[in-house]
Amino acid sequence: MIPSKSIYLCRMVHYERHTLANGLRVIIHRDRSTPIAVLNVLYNAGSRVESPQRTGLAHLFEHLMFSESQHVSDFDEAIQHAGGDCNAFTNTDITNFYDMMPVENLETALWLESDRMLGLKFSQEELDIQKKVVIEEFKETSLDQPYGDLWHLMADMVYQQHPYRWPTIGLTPDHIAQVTLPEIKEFFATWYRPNNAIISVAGDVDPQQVLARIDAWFGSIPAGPPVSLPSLAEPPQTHRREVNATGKVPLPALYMGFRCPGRLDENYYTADLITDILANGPSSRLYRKLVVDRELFSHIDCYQTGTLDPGVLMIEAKPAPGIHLDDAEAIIWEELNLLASARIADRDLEKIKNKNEAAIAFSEVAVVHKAMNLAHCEWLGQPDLINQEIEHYRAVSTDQVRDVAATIFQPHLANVVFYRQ
Amino acid sequence: MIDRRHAPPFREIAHLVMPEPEIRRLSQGIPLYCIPGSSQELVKLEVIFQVGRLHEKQPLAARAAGRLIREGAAGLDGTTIADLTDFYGGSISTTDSMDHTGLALHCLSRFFQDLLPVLSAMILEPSFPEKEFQLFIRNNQQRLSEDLSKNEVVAYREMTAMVFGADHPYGWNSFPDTYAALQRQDVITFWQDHFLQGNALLILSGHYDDTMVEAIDQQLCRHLRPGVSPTVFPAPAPVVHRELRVQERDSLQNAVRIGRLLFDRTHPDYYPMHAVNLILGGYFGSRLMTQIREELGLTYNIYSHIDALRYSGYFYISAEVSKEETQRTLDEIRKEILRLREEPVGAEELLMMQRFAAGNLLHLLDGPFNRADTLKNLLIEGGTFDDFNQLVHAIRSITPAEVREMARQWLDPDQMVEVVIG
Repeated sequence: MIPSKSIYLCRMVHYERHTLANGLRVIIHRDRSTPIAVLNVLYNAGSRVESPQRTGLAHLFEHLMFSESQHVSDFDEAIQHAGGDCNAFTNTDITNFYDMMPVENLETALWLESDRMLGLKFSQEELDIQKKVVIEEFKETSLDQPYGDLWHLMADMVYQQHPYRWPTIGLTPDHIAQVTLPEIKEFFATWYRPNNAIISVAGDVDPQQVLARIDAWFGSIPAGPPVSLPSLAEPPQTHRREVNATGKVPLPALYMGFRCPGRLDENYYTADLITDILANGPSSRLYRKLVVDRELFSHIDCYQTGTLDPGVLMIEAKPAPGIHLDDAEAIIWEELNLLASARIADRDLEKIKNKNEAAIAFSEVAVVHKAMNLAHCEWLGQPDLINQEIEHYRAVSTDQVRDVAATIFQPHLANVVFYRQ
Repeated sequence: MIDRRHAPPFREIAHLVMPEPEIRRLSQGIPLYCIPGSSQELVKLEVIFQVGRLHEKQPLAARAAGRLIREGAAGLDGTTIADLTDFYGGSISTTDSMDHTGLALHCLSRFFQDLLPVLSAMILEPSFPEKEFQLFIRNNQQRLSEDLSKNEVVAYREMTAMVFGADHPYGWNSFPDTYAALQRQDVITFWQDHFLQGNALLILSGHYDDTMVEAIDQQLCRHLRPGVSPTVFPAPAPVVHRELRVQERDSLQNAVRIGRLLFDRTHPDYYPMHAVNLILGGYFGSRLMTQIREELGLTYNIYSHIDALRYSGYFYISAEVSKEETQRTLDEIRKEILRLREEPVGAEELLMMQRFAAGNLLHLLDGPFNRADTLKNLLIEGGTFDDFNQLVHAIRSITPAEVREMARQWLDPDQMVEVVIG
């Protein structure tokens, strides 16, 4: 009934790459259609660089980056005075700051970001305040939320050695409370140097001019000692792990985590499509079969973390009333085994690819996503990935879907968190 | 040479104007707002019926009609519809609020003609299958019980019930029983009575052409039943209790909500109050955030908000704060409100708010999809495109004396309701 159309999209994000004398990498993308210009600053400093005794430090440091710097008393005030807005996030791999400016005032963001890269005025008072704020954040997001301890429990099972074994917020509020000023200073001197950062600019800017301004603001910031991420192999998992969460929750729930390919692994894209086949959209398998047709679950979702080193492919499910959690797990396994043993129909894979492609196109409407994405691809060491991702997804075959599913979904590789009532 | 000691010179945003959108009148006079432009070949069609809670005979009928409309239509079952939509990489989402019920189709432009018939069938011939209806009830009851375990959800619900009255269309809250009382026929009746030509407005944005407009007219607008729903807005009930404290939960933080009734967008103080809200708690540089998070470290998040509705509106402050610091936080909030009522805001602080707000409003104009969303929100609230421009003007021209006057008029702490849940 439906002709199988390929919807390959002709689109290119054009960009320029440069490296300043101090090692700072720069990506510039001109987008003439928007009045907003974005400056994105990515530091190669996620929670993976923390010591196991000071988890949560990278994220706390993200907060401190908004405190007084060499020549700027208040970062936020200065951004807002220029009509801009800013935010930041920390994950296991990176800490990323972004400033969304009216293009007229992009210069202000260059001033501010370069000044805090030059140096902060570390004060005990500011550290104490931000520790309190972050501990309140810890309570709000992890301790008081139902299922808020999920990543604490899951990461601790999936990883035994790798620093991904603690969540970015930190293992416990105590680690944050114990951070000292000298530790903060050392963290900055090690990880926040220009040679460990990538900046991207996207907006209606002249690439030549903006490069000259970037060089003027950032070029004189001294480089730090070279840093490299420790290579951390995680031993293969040999047996199933499971835990019963103790927190009070409104509904029983089941979370199944499997180690899955890292961001640069050739199977990453296949794994990503597997999560879509299972749970993205109203016609996805788990949703359609288990939530709608058989009415066995009220909620089901699947996603992967997309980290540089092997990540977590997570299935989260809340069973319908009367369905026991152990039965619920067995039902999900039937679907995982099916995907791992039988090729999916060509049309079903085509559907997922089409959906994926449209999602990528819609995500690139916002200039801030392009700026972040360009910096992230550069960080991965594959700047042109931004233009190649759709081809990577297009290239996945139904055989690969089956084979990668068979590799990931094995009983001895499962890590399961049960929230019982 | 660069000067690190001083901020680079500020430049005003060159162009901060919402242009008048082209309105095409389709069959039966149904307006189609057109917002062209997109560097990508993407298109979005919003179909909005300006009916919601005020039009429900049975609570939740509007929401259920909106959400269940995708589950079967014109002989196609929900599985087929979902599969077709996904195959073309499109998404048909339902959008609803207190004042509207609608659908949005997002897709690559080249598949618009494949997906429009699906969208039209949902609106014109929905089947509201019994099985999916029961599933909707059960799953929403489950979701509700999950939401009710969250302090912030309970606090917000209690506050709106106290502000409008627990039986008011804008104030009532759903419980598992509310879902249990809803019948499939209530949903069908809501659709029959209210998905009418006179309630409809459409917004088409992105990369589209005349053949798409023609198809929308042919396939959808011509076939909508004529008529318009009468609307009665009951007066909000007078506030009975001003304070609610519940301390029965095993949580580390309290959710705090402090609010009061305001007015709809036709009120002369509507725009100036937006400026006042920004100064008090409407952005990161606001007084509440600066004092209570950045100076005292009492919370991770504290904001104030103005929620605009078609026939009313309300103001509220929200924060999650540790239990032992709750009273101190409440005292600090009160202090900040009183300060706004007593002292005129300083010139620098006012200027920062004005510049931030202008930059923030610029995002609402960034690209056809953001412009379409902005227009949609204005239209649902009973406004026009030009309300955006009036808001820009009001924010840029407000004076310290006016800010104080507005705060004195509308932000009396003793007139607010205060909810603490933990």
